[in-house]
Amino acid sequence: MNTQMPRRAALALYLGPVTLFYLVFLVAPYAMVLRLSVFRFSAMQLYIPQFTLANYTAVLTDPFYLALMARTIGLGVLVTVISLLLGYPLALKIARAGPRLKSLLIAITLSPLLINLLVRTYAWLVLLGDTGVVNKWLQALGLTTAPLPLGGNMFAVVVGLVHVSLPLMALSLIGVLERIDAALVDAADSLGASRARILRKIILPLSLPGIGAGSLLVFTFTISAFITPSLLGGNRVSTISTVIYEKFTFSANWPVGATLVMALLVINAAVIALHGRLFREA
Amino acid sequence: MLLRLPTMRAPETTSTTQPSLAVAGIQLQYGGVAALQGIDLEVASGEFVALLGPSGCGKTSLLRTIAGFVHPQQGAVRLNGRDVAGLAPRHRNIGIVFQSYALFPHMSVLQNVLFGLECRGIPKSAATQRARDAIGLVGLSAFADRRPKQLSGGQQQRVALARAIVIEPDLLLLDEPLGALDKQLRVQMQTELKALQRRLGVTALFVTHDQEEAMSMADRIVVMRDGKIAQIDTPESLFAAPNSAWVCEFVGAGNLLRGDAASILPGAPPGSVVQVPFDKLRVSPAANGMPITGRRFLGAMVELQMATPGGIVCAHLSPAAASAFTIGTHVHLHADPADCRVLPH
Repeated sequence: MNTQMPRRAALALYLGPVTLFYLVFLVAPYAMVLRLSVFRFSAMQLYIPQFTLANYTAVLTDPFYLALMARTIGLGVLVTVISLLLGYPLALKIARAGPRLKSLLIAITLSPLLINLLVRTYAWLVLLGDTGVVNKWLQALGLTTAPLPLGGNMFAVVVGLVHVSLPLMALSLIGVLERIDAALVDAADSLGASRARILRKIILPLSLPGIGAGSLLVFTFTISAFITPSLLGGNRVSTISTVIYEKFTFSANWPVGATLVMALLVINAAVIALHGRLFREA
Repeated sequence: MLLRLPTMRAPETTSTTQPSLAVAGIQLQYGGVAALQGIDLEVASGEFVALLGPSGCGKTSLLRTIAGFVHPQQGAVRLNGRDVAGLAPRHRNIGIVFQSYALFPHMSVLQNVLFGLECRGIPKSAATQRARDAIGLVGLSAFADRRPKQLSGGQQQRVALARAIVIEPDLLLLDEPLGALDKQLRVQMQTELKALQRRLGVTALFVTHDQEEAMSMADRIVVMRDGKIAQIDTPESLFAAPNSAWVCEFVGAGNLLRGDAASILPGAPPGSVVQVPFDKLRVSPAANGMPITGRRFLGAMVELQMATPGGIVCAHLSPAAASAFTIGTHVHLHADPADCRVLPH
């Protein structure tokens, strides 16, 4: 048993397959997209392999693309904030619940993730349409006379995205909240702190890593989401993802589509870097 | 090095008629399991009392009941005459030193100590001064801006103490305050803690399972067993006159002689248990006696252990006297009846 493999060789053996996987299915595609993004667009032959920065100039100066990026980031921020506001009390309740209630609440919280994405999205279409369940009930109860514009707009997109983001946010928060030592709350209580002060001064600061992780997860997920904005937005809400789809299919402008992919990648990388900077100490 | 806190009360020299803490008839159950079964306890102002007992005896439950973290099904808790039974911990004005210290990890030492003062709405500058005084009192002035995790265990313990006393509590509760420290530091902190408690004159109740710690710090010891109080006494009385074989054994107050061995004491009723302090049991060489099975050097004393039919008994001798005995030496045991006590059933 003295034929121990050198550490480095063993490491290569363990990490080799996953490295290869990432090289083939992640790095290589991105390299190809990057290459495509600096090629010239051609209506006749999709693209001409000729170096140009025109696509980047277009994306970074054209008001349409600037508004598109601002709208996508805004959507990400909005969904993140709503998920946080809804998810924090939920996570707090789950973290403090007894073992049986906790399992039940976690199962309920995770349920949106257990439904197929398309089924979930079509269900929202049924609920939020002009003749959908919600509008029918509102009119039946006499609360409204005409259907409210619930579907096919930004509202529907936000609702659909929050629905799937909430479990991600809640899970990130539960893990951190559960690890806060109960004795800290007792100590603050004995020192005279009200419930509000304990939340503000002890629990909230100590759960910042969870808020950071959950926000990062939800934001990057939201700005990259395609099916939800595309279906619930009813072709009236465009995000970077829906425009990328449009560029690679209907308008067949691959170079600009590739440039938008890179833009999305840069935004995500920037947010991850910002998160790393803010939560380095933890 | 230690400063006097001008805002702290002077130790009370005259005993008041009203106890600082009065606990009466406490019954506490957790899901059908009785944790406390009728606890009555009075602690005088400025007194330092230890709750001593094995794990599961209810001492921590009693501490948490007094603190207000758990609410008993029956019984009253009065602090300086004020009924606090229905009050949340935040309204009781009790300082607590937790076993794990429970220092706020995201705050500096100063911020930790300031916390209770901020909760009381004390103006910033006055609060800071008081917090700095308290930090000085525990000898940590140079560490006020450190985070808890940058401090040693002993230093964290002092911060926890400063945070608990700065609010000028009506009562100081300490839950196994020295349990996490190593032996040498623990002995040093015992002395410091006791001195500080005396200087501040604060009424204090501390939980421990270590009888030596209880003996060395407490004015009185409350021995607990199975959710009940077994005995309340000064360390000296507890040692000299335990009220049961269990207490005698738990606090290590001497040998217990049962059955025939108990007849060593003339007039002892049959079936009684006799307490013989370790240093009162005498040994003499005798070829037809019992062998010495163990020998331990305790510093000022040497302990000899003999296996009798009734169990192991120990005798503490001076090192000079013990030099005549080694493991295997056969001995007879004697005790002066005047040194023996029949323990109540």
